[in-house]
Amino acid sequence: MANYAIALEYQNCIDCRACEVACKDENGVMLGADKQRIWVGIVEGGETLADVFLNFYPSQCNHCIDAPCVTVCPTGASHFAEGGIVKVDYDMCIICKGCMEACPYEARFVDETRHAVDKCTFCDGRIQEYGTTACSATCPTKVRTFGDLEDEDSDIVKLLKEREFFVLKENEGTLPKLFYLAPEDVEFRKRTLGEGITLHKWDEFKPKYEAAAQAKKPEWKKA
Amino acid sequence: MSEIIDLKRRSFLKGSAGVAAGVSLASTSAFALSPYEDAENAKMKKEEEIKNAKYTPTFCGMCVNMCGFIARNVNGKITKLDPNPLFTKSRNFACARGNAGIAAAYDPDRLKGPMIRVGKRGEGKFKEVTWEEAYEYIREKMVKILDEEKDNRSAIAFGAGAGAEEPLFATFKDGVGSNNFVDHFTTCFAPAFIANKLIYGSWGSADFEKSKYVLMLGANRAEAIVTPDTLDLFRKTHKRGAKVVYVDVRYTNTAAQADEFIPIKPGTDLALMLAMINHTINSGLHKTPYKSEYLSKYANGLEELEAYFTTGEGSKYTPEWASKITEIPADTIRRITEEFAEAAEKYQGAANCYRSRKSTWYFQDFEFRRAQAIFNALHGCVNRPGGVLLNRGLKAEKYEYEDFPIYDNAKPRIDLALLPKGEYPLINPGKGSWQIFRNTVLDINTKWKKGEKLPENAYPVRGMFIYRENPIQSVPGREKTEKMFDTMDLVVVIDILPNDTAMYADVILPDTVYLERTSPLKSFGTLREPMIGCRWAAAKPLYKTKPLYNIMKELSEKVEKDLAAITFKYTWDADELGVELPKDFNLAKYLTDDFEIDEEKLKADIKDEELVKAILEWAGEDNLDISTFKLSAAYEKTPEEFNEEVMEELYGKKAAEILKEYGVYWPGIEKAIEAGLIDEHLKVFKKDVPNKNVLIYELYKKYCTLPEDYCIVPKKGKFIKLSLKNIAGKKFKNPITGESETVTDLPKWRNSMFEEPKNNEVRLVIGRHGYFTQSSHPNNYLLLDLMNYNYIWINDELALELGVKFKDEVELTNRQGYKVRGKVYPTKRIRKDTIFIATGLGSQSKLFTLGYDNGVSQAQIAEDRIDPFIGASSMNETFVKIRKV
Repeated sequence: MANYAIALEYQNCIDCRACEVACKDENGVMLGADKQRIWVGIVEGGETLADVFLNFYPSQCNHCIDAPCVTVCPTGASHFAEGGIVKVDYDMCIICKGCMEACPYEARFVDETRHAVDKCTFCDGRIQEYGTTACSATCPTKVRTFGDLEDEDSDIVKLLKEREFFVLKENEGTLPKLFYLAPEDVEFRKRTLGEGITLHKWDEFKPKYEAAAQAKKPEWKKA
Repeated sequence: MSEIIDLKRRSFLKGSAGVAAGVSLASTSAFALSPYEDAENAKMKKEEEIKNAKYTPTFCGMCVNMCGFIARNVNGKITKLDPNPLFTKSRNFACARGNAGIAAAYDPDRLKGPMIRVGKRGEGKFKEVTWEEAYEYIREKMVKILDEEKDNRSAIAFGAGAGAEEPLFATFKDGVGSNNFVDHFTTCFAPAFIANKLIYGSWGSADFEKSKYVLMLGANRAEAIVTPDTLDLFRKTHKRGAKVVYVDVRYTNTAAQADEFIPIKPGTDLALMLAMINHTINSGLHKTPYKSEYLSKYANGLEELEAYFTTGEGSKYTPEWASKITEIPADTIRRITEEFAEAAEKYQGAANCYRSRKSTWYFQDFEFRRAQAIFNALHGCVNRPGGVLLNRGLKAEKYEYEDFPIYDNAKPRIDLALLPKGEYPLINPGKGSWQIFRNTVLDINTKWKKGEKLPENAYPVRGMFIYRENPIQSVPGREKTEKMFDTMDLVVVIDILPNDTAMYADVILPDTVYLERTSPLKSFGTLREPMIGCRWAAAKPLYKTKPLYNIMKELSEKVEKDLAAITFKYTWDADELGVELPKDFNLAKYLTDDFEIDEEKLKADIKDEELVKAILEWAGEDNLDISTFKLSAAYEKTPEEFNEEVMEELYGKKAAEILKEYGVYWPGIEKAIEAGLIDEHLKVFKKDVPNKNVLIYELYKKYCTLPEDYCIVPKKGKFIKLSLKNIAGKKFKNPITGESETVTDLPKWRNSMFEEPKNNEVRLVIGRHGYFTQSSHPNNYLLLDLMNYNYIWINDELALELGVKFKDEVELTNRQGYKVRGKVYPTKRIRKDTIFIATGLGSQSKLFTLGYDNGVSQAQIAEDRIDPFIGASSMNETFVKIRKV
């Protein structure tokens, strides 16, 4: 059984938001909401025009292996689907917003057209046919590599073996599955990594993720 | 806090993208029988939809790049566009606008049927009519105008935006016989294009895949996306193969991902470029082995250039001199020159001082672009891998028609006709200058309406057809454009939206959205991957809309006999033919549908045998050859038939089939398809194909049968002209001092053509962002969901001084007295003497429910300033006073 994740070559991101529109087309995401299923986090620094900088962190739901949004859901609407995808069953959602509070990544929002909390689904239903999410497929500079962590031959595992990476808010302990590939350019790395970010290698990271995923798998539903 | 982050926090639009596109999600019961049934149903439904959908290759119509997509049609509606991996030019990607193409088709305010104006111009009051009524209205007006103007075909002008259909529209213009055609050229890339063309004969493109050093001067490629430039560039930054240095007046997304950002004072790029040439020459950076050989082989005028920069006018353009003007330290200028020079030598021309597309900034643009072209050539980077490639495309025919008659009474184009001989601006005779055209027409038409005597060679331009162009929202001096249309007797707008220009139309004809039509194929001479692309209709046209092809064909059929009759009447030479043509004679009555003269009918009506004989003689093959006046003959082939025929003829049946099936053809593509990489149904990479992101680049290289260096056009001899003797000595008027100046053979900095803001003014610069192609899709719900206001960028310290915070309203007044109001975005990302607005917003069309009045209209605040060398817009020569409201 697959365990889906995304690796992000975030140093390629130009904040063009093609991913956001592709996601809306593919998934019928509500327009006019404060938040989207997918976004580019922007951090601005520097004091003057000469030294100002913008860092872009393309992001979406981390589909954490130990997702607090699922644990906290009182009706079971938030659940793990096949492939370890964290989803919401809209019928079962009562919009108590507990999951929105619990999510460290602010990946969830209320979709008024669905009368439910909504979030990224890793394009479940699409990936079965295309093998990629809409956001990965459309990206101009190919920031995203979507794939199966359990497939040693997958593009994502190959990338993770090749490169150092970090995850966001690692200390929350949720085992997130968006892997940010560390740039090799030292200066740019320094500018975008910030304080307290730990870089990892896949061989060291893999056992922890594999064990946690195995433990969770009995909870994974068909959809 | 970023302006963009704020933009997400609004809810002006409720409804989902999917619903708006007509697809509802699985409707579910509130009391599902079992848990997770809803989630399961939704997933299954998506899988089923994808499996059962119809997939059609198309290319994008949202901007001029025309990237290749596969359209997914579910029950008659387009629900998704995915990039086409075989369409290698676009590197298997779709930008925000590309993805938002769906919203163009399902725009709630889309034009649904033909309309005729009932209110005042600009008021937005129209009545719905049938196509026949609309055509008849146009016919009557055209006949009246051309009859009164005695067959001066140029009395009706044509304007078009760029796109795959442009040849179909241009064919109609040629058929009517007007010399007045204006397109976006002079509000877009005229300065860069003309300068490069004069210096090395063609435009070419940037070979970023192989570039080692890239110097970008204000070309914001992260937000003004150009394929494949943008895609190739940002995968090489941060020390992954190329150093990218970006110079601009503000910190853009390009600056964010460049390796180095250098702020510059607006209007001074020419000074920077001249200093870089000066430093190159005076340090002998061009005398290295590779460059010496390159220059001796390919360049003319090196001696003049060297003399100019060592002992002539150019010798004063030192880095120190430029530093005072540009505010870039002299050491930085020297360093980037040396870095560029070193990369160019080491990698044999694989460095690129990038040419912008939209280069209509300042009065001295032409000189700046000339200097830039010289700089690229001086370092051996022209027609070299990694530099500027003068690439070539695959052979393909254009949809055009060559057998139209020549109309002797058609006068020369109006923007050129009134210029004194030998005096600049050097206007492209095919495309003209929008502002000079507009200002001339407004002036002449106003005089003509008052009955005043017109200057020699002048004539009123009384009608205009506009296809997919929105000059009221794009050409600086909005009010003048509105007034110009107001002086006309017939304004026809062919578009998909009731945009600002359509508000001034007498007749609006609704075109189809590009997803609904098949277009004439197009040869893309892109870089290393020349290819032929094709757009096939992926859905049926909605409402009463028609593809441009049908509109042009039907309109031609409607007007052709009457227009032929007018020429017949005004070319009739009684002296030569020996008989007067009766005043009420109308040849149209006697023309058959095949454009033969119905002699029987003619003889029945006209008893004078001599006159009948003369009529037949004048209409005959040796004279007018009236059969050539059948305009609709140009539209004999539908785009589908045209595409099929051209492909079969040039590349064979199999190639025609591939183009039909996959929307793209290049020699060897059949092998790529046979290799089993492409899913036959979805027409994208098969799901289990590994390394797709790399494959995008390898596909063409691996399977194409063209020689690898096909993209490098073989040039014989010295094709580069460093010194332009052919234009030296021409006169032009300094737009600031009004004095006569002389064009020199080498670029020159003129202090008298550079202005600074004074008396509490700031300079206004206009530019792009990633979400709108200028004013092309003001009402697109998917794009407005990304950005629904163009906040005025203002330096944070200046904002503090003015006492304005984010979203506070200010009034801008330019030197020509025009005012606009808009909300500000204070930021340290822009200079204190400069403010910025993004294009594409601030529409004043009341027929837009989503995009009305949402910001600053660039055309309203940009001053009507014209580049004196080539007649292009100088949009950033706008100085405004800011007042808090």
